[in-house]
Amino acid sequence: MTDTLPVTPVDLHAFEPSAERVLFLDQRMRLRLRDSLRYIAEQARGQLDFDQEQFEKFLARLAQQPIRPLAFSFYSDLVLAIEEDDINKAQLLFTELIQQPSHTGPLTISALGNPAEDLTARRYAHFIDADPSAAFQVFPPSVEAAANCRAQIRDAFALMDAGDPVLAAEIRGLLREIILAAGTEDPKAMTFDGASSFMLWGAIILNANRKDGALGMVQMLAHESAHNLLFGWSADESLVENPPEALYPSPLRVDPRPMDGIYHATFVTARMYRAVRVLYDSGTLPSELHEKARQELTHNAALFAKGMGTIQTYGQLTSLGQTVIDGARNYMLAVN
Amino acid sequence: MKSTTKRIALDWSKLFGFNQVKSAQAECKSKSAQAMIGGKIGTKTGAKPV
Repeated sequence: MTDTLPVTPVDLHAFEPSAERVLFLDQRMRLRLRDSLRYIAEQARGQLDFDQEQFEKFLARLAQQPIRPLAFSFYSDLVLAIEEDDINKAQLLFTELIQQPSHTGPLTISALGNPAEDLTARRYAHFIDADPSAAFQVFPPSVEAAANCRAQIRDAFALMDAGDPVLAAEIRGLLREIILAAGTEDPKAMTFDGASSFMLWGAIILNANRKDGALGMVQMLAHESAHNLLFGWSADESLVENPPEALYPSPLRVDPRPMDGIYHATFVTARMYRAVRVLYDSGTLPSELHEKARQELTHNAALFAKGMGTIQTYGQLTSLGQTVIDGARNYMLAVN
Repeated sequence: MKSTTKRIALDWSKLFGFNQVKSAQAECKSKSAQAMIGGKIGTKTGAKPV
């Protein structure tokens, strides 16, 4: 790994998965974070107290190796603390940020701790539940739920390794951490299936109470990793230019959503479709999953069409946004 | 409510991620900014009623 960007892959925005491409995206995200931290340190001279040598070593690590996803969340909170002129909080965040470890090993799966007692768990829960229009509670999973979810993840990767190794490799390249959590089971409340965040780049959070088996988990992994893919693509540029306060019908949510959310939902639906379709066409999918696969294909195709309708009617896309969604649309047209 | 003079001046147009939510910098409350950031550049949650 170098501390300057390698040559941009020719297929950077292609719809098809690519493990090589996500290595580029990850390095670009880290280099952008590095440059922003250097800017902040320059602007904060005399206000934030830090060990210059430790800071430079952190920046060097950040440029050269994958970093723990929480590092991005500390950066986000740091900027907001500075914006609120809360220098004490900014100091704590900056100090903790530059101690964040690299993540050079394989994808890890861990259970969320108790946010009431565990600062790391509180940080993850805080970033998951960041949308005041759709607030929900996040809990540690039960031991049984976590074990079941780990088994589903294992089985999902087994399906992909056999029938769609390109997607499996991309997911393993995109993600550093899968966090298992749980939502409320109150029938009157909102809960979550999964979550990912630009400011938790490389992490996804799954509701461990899932009971939809390996094929469902394949789709969930495709779904959340596709969100991360969109985050990586939009490191330097937005996908849409619609005002965030403008709301439109969403294919995946009961409540109307901003165009950026609809864009994401529509793209990830195409990726979910592709994940099932490739497994189904590969001949490796167990026969007992064929009917479920057909149902999911029909369902995801309908959701994609609904989302594309909203995008085509109301979307104000950037050049990047148009390129990326065209890839998804062209794929869906080619296979249907 | 407009921001008063801050001890550390950051131009969000120079900040990774935040350069896509320029309008949020006019807000002095971080919750507003955070919600806008979450909405604009992404915390994506498959929320649903139980």
